Amino acid sequence: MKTLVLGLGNPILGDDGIGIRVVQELRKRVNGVEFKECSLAGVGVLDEIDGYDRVVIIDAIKTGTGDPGMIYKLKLEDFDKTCPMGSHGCGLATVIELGRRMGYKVPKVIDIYAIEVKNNEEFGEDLTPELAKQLDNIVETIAKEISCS
Amino acid sequence: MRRVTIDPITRLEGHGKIEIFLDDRGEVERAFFQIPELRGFEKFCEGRPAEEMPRITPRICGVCPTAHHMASTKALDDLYKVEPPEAAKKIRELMYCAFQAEDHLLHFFFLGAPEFIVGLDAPKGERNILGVIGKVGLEIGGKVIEARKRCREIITLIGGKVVHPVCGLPGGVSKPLTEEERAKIKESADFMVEFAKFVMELFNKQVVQNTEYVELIRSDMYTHRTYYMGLVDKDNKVNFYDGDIRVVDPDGNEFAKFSAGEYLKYIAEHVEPWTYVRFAYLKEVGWKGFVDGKDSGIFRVAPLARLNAADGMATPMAQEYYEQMYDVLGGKPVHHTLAFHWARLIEVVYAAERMKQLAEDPVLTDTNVRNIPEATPEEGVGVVEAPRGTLFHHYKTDENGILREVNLIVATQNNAAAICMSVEKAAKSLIKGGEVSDKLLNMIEMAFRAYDPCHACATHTLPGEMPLEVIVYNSKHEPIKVLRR
Repeated sequence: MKTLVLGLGNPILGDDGIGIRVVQELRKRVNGVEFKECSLAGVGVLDEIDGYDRVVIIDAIKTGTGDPGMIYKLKLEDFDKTCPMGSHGCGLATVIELGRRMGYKVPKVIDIYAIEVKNNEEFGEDLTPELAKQLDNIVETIAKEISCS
Repeated sequence: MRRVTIDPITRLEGHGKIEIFLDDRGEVERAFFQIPELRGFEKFCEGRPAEEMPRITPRICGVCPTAHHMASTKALDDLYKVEPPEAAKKIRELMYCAFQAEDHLLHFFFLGAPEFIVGLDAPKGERNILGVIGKVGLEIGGKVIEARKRCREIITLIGGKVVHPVCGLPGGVSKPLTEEERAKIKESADFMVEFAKFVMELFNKQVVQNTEYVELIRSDMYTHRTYYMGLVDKDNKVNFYDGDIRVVDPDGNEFAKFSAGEYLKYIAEHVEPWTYVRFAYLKEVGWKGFVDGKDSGIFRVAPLARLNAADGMATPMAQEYYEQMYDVLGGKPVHHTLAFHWARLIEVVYAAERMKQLAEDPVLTDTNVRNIPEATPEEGVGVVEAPRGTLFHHYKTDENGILREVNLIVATQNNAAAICMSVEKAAKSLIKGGEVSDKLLNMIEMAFRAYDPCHACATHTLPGEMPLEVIVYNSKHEPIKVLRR
C-alpha cells in the first residue's frame, strides 16, 4: 500500500508548525512510507495526496479544551461538507469529494491526527515549552499508529 | 491517546465572530466583525538580513504567498536602489498574472459561484464547489482544474516552487526563460484566454441576464459610497505588478496618485479597542468612524476597487467586459459590494490576456535578468496588487542590510473598515424590531465573502475552513440569538 505521511502547518508560526515538526522526526523512525511537509490548504492538498493508497495527515488544532500535545484521531466523516466562506477555498471533506469526482486518485484510507496546540497566533520558530515537552510522546504515538494500522 | 470525535465548528477557538448589539427598540445599534489576527511578524523579522524577506514573507499566508514574495522582492529593489532589467520585470509580471488568474478563478468557483450558480435558496449542503459542478457539469469542473494546473505550472517554472516561489532577487530574477519554456507558457496563456472568456460568458448567462441577481447586486443592503484604491499603469489602466497607486473619490474623480514610497503620506491606520486589526484610512480625509461617503476616509481595495480606481483595462477583451459592467450597473464608480465578484472575473480575463502578451514579447527570453545591487541599503517600499487588494511591504535596515523595522499593510487591513460597515449594514437590513431572520447568517456572509477577507494564516486543512459565529445581544448586552456554521 503506497502510503504518504503529510505534515501541514506554518513552521514560522510557533505551535502551528507541529505537524511539520512531527513529520521531520517520523522520517528518522518510520520506514516504508513517503513523507511530505507543506504549508497549504484547501484544494492544494489534493495535489499532494494524488496517487497514494493511504494518507496520514498531521496538523495542528486548537479546540481550547485539551492540553497541548493531546492527539485527536479524526476521520473524514468528522468534517462537515459545509458551504465555504474564506480563502481556504473549502474544507477537507469537500476537497476529497471534489478530487474523487474530478478523477484524482484520492487515497482510499485517510487518517488525520490533529494535535492540540497552545499558541498559533504569534510568529516564531519555536514550539511553546508545553508542546515541546510532548513532542517525543507525540512522535512515538503516531509512529506506532502508522506502523500498526 | 484520547480518541474523540470533535465538532470542528462549535469547539474551535480562533473562529470568526460577528457580534450584533440591539437597542431598546430591537434595532441594530452596532455590529462588530472579528477575525483572528496573527501577532509578532515585524518582531520576528527584525535582526534578519533583508534579502531573506522574499522567502520568509510568503509564509505569512498559505493563500497568497506569491503576492508577498513579489511585494517583498520589489521592496528589496527599492531598498538597494536597483532597477531590474526589462526581461526580469516581465518574467515577474508573467508569473504574477498566472497567480492572480488562478486565485481569482478558484475564488469564483469555490466562493462566488455557490451563490450565483447553485442559487441563493439552494440548501446549505449544496452551496459549495460540489453543487457548482453538479450544476455546470463535470466537464467544466475539469477545465477549472486544468486552468489551475496550467497556472501553477507557470508559477513553478518561473518561481522554482509553486507554494513558496524563490525566484525574486533584488535587481531581477534568479534565472532567464528558454524558448522551450516560453512556448509552453504561451500554450497555457492561450488556453487561459479562451477559458476566461468562457467563464465570463457563463457569468453573463447565469447572473447578468438574471434580473433577480442584478437587483440583488444593486440593492442598498450591499452598497457603500467609498473611496477606491488600486495600482495603475502610465495610462491609468489596471496593473497588478507595477505602477502608481491611484485613489478615486466616491464620485469617481481622481483624489490622489502617488508612488509606493509615498504611501505613509496618504494612508494612516486607526485602532479600535475591540480588535487587533488596524483599520487603514485616507489620512487627508480623516477617520470619521465606520461610515461611508466623501467625508469619511474609508477606502476599498481589491477587484472592484481596482476597476473603479482605473480608467480602464489594458487589454481588449477585458476592456469590453469592463465597459459592459459599468453599462449594466449605471456608470462609474460602482459602489455595490457584490460586484466584486463581477470585477474579479474581468480581472481573470485581463490576467490571461496579459499573460499571452508577455509570453509573446521577444524580450522575455533575454538572458540579462539581473542587475547587481551596489547601493548601501537604508529603506525600501514595495507594492503589488494582491488578489484581495493593495499590499505594502516597507523595510528599514542598517548599512549591512539587517532589518531594523518592518511594516506591512495587507489587503484585508485596507478593506477591514469597509467589511465592518458591510456586515453592519446587512445586519440592519435583516433585523427589525428584535426579529432576527434565519437568512441572516448567509446574507451577512455574502457581504464579506465578496471581499474574500484573508483571515489569519491559511496553511491548514483543520478545521478546513474558518468557523463563524454570529451573536445577537439585546440592549442589556444579553445574548438572545446565536447562529453558527
